[in-house]
Formats: sequence, structure tokens, C-alpha cells
Amino acid sequence: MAAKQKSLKNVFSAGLFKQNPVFVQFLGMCPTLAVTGSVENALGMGAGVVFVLVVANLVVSLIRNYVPREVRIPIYIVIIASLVTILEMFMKAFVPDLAASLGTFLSLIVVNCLILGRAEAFASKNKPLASIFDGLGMALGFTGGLVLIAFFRELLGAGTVLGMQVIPADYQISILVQAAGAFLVFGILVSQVNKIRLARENESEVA
Amino acid sequence: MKHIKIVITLLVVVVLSSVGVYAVEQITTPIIEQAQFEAENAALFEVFPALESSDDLTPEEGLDFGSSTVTQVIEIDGKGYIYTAQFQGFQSQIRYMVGVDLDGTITGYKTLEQGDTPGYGAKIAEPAFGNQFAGQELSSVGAGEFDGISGATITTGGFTGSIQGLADFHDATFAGGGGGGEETDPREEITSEGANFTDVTGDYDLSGTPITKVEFANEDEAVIYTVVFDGWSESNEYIIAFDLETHDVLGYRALVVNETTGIGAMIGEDDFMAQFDGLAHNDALNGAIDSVSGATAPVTLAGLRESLNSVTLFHQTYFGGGESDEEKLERLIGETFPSEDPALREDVTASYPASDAILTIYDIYSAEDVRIGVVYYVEILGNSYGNVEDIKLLLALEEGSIMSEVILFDENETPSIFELNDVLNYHISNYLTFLAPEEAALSAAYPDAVSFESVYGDYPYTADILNVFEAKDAEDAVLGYIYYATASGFGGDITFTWGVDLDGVTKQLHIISHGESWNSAYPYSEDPTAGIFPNTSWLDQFEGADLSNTVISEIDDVAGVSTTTSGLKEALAFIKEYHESNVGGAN
Repeated sequence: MAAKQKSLKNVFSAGLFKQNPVFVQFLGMCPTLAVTGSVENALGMGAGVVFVLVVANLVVSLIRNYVPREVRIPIYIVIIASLVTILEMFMKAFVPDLAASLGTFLSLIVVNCLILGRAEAFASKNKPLASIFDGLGMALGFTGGLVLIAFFRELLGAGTVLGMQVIPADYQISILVQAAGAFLVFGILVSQVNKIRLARENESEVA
Repeated sequence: MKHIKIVITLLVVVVLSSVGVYAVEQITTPIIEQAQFEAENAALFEVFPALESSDDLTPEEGLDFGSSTVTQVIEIDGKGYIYTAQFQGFQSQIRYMVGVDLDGTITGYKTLEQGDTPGYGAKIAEPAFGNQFAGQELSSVGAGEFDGISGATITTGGFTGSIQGLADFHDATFAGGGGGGEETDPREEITSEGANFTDVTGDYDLSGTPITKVEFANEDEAVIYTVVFDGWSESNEYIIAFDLETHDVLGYRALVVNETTGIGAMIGEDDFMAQFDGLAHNDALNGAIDSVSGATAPVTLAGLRESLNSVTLFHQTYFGGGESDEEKLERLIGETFPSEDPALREDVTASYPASDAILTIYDIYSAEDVRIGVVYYVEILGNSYGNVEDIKLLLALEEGSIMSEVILFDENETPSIFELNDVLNYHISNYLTFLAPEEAALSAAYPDAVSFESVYGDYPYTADILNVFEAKDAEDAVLGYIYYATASGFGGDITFTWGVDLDGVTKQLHIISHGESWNSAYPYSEDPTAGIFPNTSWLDQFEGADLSNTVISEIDDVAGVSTTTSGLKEALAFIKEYHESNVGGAN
């Protein structure tokens, strides 16, 4: 029991930091760059990814023994696409404001490599519970990465945090909320996150 | 077998997924539709507050939206229109709704959908942007008169183009009372509906005027001028109608406006044009029109006023109008003491000696019946000596003889200053009441006389002499004269009276008031017994002396008090000269 617990914890925490999909695996770059103009959008996108990734991982894990290798990718895609469509419809029905602000990005979850990547790399080889934890960890890590990028872009680019003005208009770096700014902020954050991550890994190796 | 397994697995997954999606769709579709319907419905009420749930909200069909971005129009009978339009923003399609009432005024605006950059283009959905439109004219918003979103040029540009197209569409489809019927002739708007117009341009000489066309409305009802003028830009065109009976303005309509939007273009706005309805003839002559809608357009306005002035003058020349001289005089008198409105005036010309120059003298009274001044209406020589011409003017003097205003009756000449002086002299001689000392001061200067009479009015006025009196004996025979005057001393003005008899021999020099001290002169004085001023023996030199043999300037000053003595000598020398050339010389 103890060993299994530890393993689940490791599975969960891998996505948060060591194997962070945004800063380490570089998965799901399209939404990463597109929706990080504001923290609110990043959170909304993250919430969608949490749902889709957890459920997709669960479903893929459940059917992993019945799926022929040759068609696993099309099957995963059908499952993911269906989940996203369902998610979109639910959101439009029950949280229309969030659905409106996410706009087309919601549909983009379908082609988010992160989902397919975790289905292929983890869920198709692991038990359902572990897959859920993996999905949750990865999705939260993804959300965290998004929010981090969005925080800096929104703060420095639009002068706001979650829509509240903190920096006057004269001191904003407006390029940061535009598409090019996403690359700039992303690049800088990747370098800093990896600096910390690599330093930690070296430490543990030495230890 | 493997192949069959693949096919079956794939099929099962696809079918199950489809069933799942279908099931969810069944649940959510009605909710989504209702939510959307409610959102749009709420937006309808938001952009058109006058909307009632009983109104028919069916979109109009069969309309050609042309190249405009309009996607839907709902016509609310008797109330207005609600437009929905969609345009390309910076990175998304932006859909908005705008309500317009029957007058073309925007009732409200709402962004329905947008996905532009947060903090920039996305601000189009914020109240700060949407709330600026309610109450604005759709046409002016269509012309770009709204605050864009800073930093979101593309989004703003997309919106500008979209609302412009919407405004044009609205204009072409519904403007003019909703029927989009025939446009009314602006000439009929400012004269009368269904009037017939006769072009009589050929009958008049329009050279030197801004008028390009002259027309009669219904023969002799009114005359309409088409006028071209340069404001900030060139060749603006308007029509203006004058009533042929009253000669007042009936109305004005801008035909071509090339001026800057938001500034000079106000000359084409309804508020501006309304100023001309019933504008009095003279107000038109004087350009009594103003900017509207907060616009500041001095150049445009000046151009328009100038053209208005020449048109009105042209009208006067051919058709009459304008105020009569009497009316003008009334108006100008009203301008002399405008602060005392309603000033009352009394024609007092008859109370004063006749004068060639002075036509009328008016006493002006305040509402409290206190005389506050006098106005002379005079006709004097103009300043252009090469072309001698009399000009008329009003000269206003406040009580106390402070000249307050000179208003020219004819504005094409400047008055001669010498002629004006003559009028002022008349005022001084005939109108003013001169200052008089107490009778004791007169007796002191001329002890022999028993009665005194001011005769200063007969002689030229000077500021140094306050008054001149005849000193008379008991039989009313003139013995001599008394001057009442001032001299400047060391401690202020010294006022005195000084008698002179008919032979030019001085009588007494009586000091009435002074601020001098003679004491300081004692140590220097040759005659320490001379006494303290004014009872100083130095003054005796001016008493009992034959003026004709006295050269006052040669009388010695007193050391130590030379300011006093020289000041007195100067005043007395002036009086001697005045006496010899005026009063004494006249006898």
C-alpha cells in the first residue's frame, strides 16, 4: 500500500513540476501562447484541460487492453474530440460567460498534444487510478504554467491582474499581450524554470 | 481476424462517442438556445430601453444590406430600429447590437460577441466603450465621432467602418421619417411647403457678393439667396431666405459643407440652422449667430458672418429692410449705458443753447430715477479732410463728466478730435454746474461786492480754474471778478479765491484751504515777521497790485518753502494770463 501511495504521489507531482507540460515537455504550445493574454482566460483554459485530460486518461486507460495498436491514435482522437464537444456544450449551457471568453480556444483542446500525448504515453500503459492522477497532475501543471505566463503578460502588458488595474496605462508594455509577447514571456520563463529545475536535479544527484 | 477486430473496435468507439455527444446535445441544446435567446433578448432591451415585451421583434425580411456589415434589423413600429452587425476585429469576429430611434439618435449599444485581445480590443465589450453612444446621433457616430479604444487601432477601425456602413444603410433605408420617401426641397423647408420658385438671378448684379443665385418663393413672399463662402475650407454653400415683408430671415440650410467634422461642420447641424429661424434682419446684418454643440470654429463662423453681412446688405439695397435712423438711434442710445438697463432718457435739448453740431441731448436716468449721465447725439466733421463729410455719433458722459463711450452712428468715418473737443467744451460750458466756494470766501476776495454770479460758462473751461464769478455791488453793477482756483502746494492742493477789479487791479487773495506749514521757512526768511501761512505777508504782494504791471514769475520765492510759493505763483500767473486774454480782455 505504501509503495503504491508513493507512486501515485510521484505520478501526480511529476506533471506539476519535473515533467511540467508547459515548461519541460513543451506540449500544447498553441493554447499556451494564445490564451495567456489574461489570467482569467488561462484559468478557464486550464479548467477545460483538467476536465478533458482526466476523463480522457480514464477512458483511455479503461479501454487500453481492447484497443488494437494500429488504430489507437484515431480512437484516442475520437474520444478526445467527443469529450471536448461535450465539455463545450456543457459550458455553453451552464457557464456561458466562460464559454464566450474562451471562444475558439475551447475547440483547440481537441488538438492539444498534451491530451493525446498523455493518452499515448501514460494512460494506455497504466491503470485507471494512476491515469487519473497523471491527468490531474499534468492538467494542473499545464494550468499553472498558463497562469504564470498569463500573470506576467497581463500584469506588464495590460497593467491588470484578473482585470483589476494595478499599473497605469502609461507604463504598460503592450507588446506583451499581443502574440509576439507570448513568445518573449514564455522564453524567459522557460529559461528561469529550467534553471531552478536543473539546479534541484543536480542537488538530488549529488545527495 | 485482426483486421475485423480493428474495424469493430473503431466502429464501437465511434458509435459510443456519437451516442454520448448526441445525448449531451439533447440535454444542453435547449438550455443553450434559451440562454442565447435570453442574452440577445436582454441585449435588445438594453440597447432600446423604450422596448416593451409586447413589441413585435421579428427581424425585417427582404432588406439588402449591401456591403454594410449589418446582419439583422428589427423595426419596432413607431419607436425605432435595432441593428445587429458583425465585423472583423483584430483576431475575432465582433458582433454588436445598436438601437436607433426614429430621429436617428442611438438609444444604446452592446457588444454581443468578441474575442479580441484582452486589455485592448476586448475593451469594446466594456461599458466604458458602449455607454458613450446612447443619445448620440447615429449619423455623427457613423462619421467617426466617438472615442475609440486606445491601443486597439484595428478593432476600432473595424468598428468605425462597420458603424459607418450601418449609418449609411440606416440613412438610405429609413431616414426621413421611416418611409425613405422623397427628400423635401430645402427651399421649401425654409419658406413654405409646395412653394413655387422663380429664378431671377439674371435681374441682379451679383458681382462683389457671395451670392450665386437669387430666387423668389411664391412671387413676392420671400427671396432665397444661394451663397458660397470660404470658411476653414473653400466653397461651402448655403441658402438663406428673407421675408419680403418684414425682411427678417425665414431660415437657413447648409447645402455643401466642406468644413472639418466636429468643428466647422457644425454649420450644417440642425441646432445651428435653427438659429436662423426668424432671425431679425439686423441680427443677420451683424452676424448674431453662434457656434453650437460645443464646437469652436471662429474661422468658419467669421466666414459665414461676413457672407451673411454682404447678403443682408445686398437684400437691403434691392428689397429694403434694416432699421430706420430712429430705430438705430434708439438702439445705439441703449448701448451707451447698457449696464443701467432699463435706462430712462429725457430729451433735454431745449433746455440748453442751440448748437450747430449737437442734434439732441439726452439725460439718462437709472431705474431708480437718478441721473447717471448725458448722451450727446452730434453731427460733426469727419476726419477725412480730403473728402469733407459730416458724420453722426453719440457721445456718452457719465455723471461727473467721465467720457464713457463714443458710438459712431455711421461707421465709415472717424470723427475729428477737434470737433469732438468742441462738443466737450459745449458740455462743460452749458451743461456742467461749476464748483462754488462758500460765499464768505467770495466776500473775502472782494470785500466791496455784495452779490456774486458765476460767469464761467461764458469763457473757455480749464481744469486749473474751478469757477469765475462776477462781483457786483448793491445796484447789480459789475465791480470786478473773482477767480476760484487751486494751486499745488507742498502739502497738497491749495484752494483760494482771488479778486480782480475791472481795471485789472487785484483785490484780496483769500486762502480757503491748504496743507502747508510756513514755520520751516522762518530760519531762512529775510523777514521773520512774515507770519505763518496762510497769514503770511508774502501773500500781500498779490493784493492791490496792477496785474498788467506785475510779472508774477519775478516775485521771489521764500527760501525753505519754495514749493509752496512757486506753486502759488504758477497758479496765479495762469489766472493772470487767463484773465487778460479772456475775462479782462472781453471788457
